[in-house]
Amino acid sequence: MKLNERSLAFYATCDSPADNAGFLYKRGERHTAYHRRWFVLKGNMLFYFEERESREPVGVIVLEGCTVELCDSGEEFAFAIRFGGAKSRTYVLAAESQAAMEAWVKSLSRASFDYMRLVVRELEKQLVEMQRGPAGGRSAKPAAPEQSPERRPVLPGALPKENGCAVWNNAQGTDPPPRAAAPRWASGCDAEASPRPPPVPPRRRASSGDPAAAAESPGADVRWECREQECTDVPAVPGSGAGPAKQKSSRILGALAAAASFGSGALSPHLRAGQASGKRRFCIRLDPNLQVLKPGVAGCSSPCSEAERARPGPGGVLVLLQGDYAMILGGGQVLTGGVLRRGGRW
Amino acid sequence: MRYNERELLSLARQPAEKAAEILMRVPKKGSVLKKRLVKLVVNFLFYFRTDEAEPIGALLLEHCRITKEEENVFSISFIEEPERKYCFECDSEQQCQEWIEALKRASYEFMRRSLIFYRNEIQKMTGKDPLEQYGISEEARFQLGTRKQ
Repeated sequence: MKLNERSLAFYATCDSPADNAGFLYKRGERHTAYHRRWFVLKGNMLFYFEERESREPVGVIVLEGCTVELCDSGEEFAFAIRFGGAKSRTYVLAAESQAAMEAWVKSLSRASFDYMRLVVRELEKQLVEMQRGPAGGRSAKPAAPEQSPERRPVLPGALPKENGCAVWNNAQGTDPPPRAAAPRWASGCDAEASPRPPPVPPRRRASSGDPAAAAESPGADVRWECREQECTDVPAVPGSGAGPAKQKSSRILGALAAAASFGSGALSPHLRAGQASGKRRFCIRLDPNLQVLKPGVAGCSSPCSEAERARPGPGGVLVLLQGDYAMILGGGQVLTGGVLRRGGRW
Repeated sequence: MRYNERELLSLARQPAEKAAEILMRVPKKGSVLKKRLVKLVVNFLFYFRTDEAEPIGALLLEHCRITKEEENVFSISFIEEPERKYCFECDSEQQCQEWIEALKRASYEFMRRSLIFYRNEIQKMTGKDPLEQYGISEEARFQLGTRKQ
């Protein structure tokens, strides 16, 4: 397939500001040696150069549909860019510091066009609603953005069709998954007070093109509502045979992990032994105190005590991630756990 | 330049913002208008032979200029080579206009500018930064005044 490579190279090297740039180690495809490359992230394209001064990139990774995860590759500060397809390559990268790694994971997770589009639509909607308000109906139309040669960004008459997939997981799925507004990111992931118990969530069908439906109000917590799930016994050993129910929960975990891939924590051994069974419907909340543990969270010496302190109310959940494995705890007990499916879909 | 072709091909199979059979001419010497299936997905424009499942090619729609040429015709060119034009002849003037609109808004850079604009407007009206709830207000790419327009 042809690609407009010349334009791509120009885009990579022109002086439009990059969303992120820096040295990363990239693991080779066949050989596991790491090569240090200069990476530049612009939009949803991750370019890499042999040297910082190189005039043309060696290559580019198109980031649509990827998930970004921390990984235990043995290399320090490593993370991976994964895609959903069967024979997709996984790009393993390593930063040179914890801070750099976190910054990259964060920026890559949000690099997709869909994410940007979601946020823009949401803001556009807010602005239009505000202008329709007491300030004088439709008389105040948004003026064109400065220096934009294009027409003003008014509300499109018919929203283009989305493929309706969760923000970080653009893979095509057979069921249209629920749409969610961009979840909050906890700048520090420590849980102070226990979260408020959520109101009983209405059973919401997936609706495409309306990310705001998932948020009650600008200040509210954003929910990812999941379908009715069977809670599975938590395997004592992660990765041991997953039946259909476990696969279902793995999919959810995959999506959560993608959403929360910014953090992961070491699992305390006794948390693994919990069990829960029976059908349970629960609502997964991502809220500002989101209890995704980060290694070395300030003030927390052991993940176990962090988990206990963060004990969420009924319906609130705690997600712990370690490499491939995640557990959902709620109401003081383990609800489910499973191995994350690569490129898991919502 | 290496690129993850498999993922790009997968992207080409996704539901499109816009797709149509349009006559297309590439900026190569001696090339003529040919009927192609043209498909817009995120900021890529894929073009296929009408009976094939895999695209012939893809255009990344960043730093490009969409120009109305003569009747029913528009072109895409890239900033660094404005004379090299990909030409598209539509069935009608309306179709032509619709594509021009869609393509102009299809770039990441356009969305970023819109986002900054909306953010600024909302902040002026409410005094609050609407990006705070997303936790992304500090990101360099969303700051006013740091972007080269």
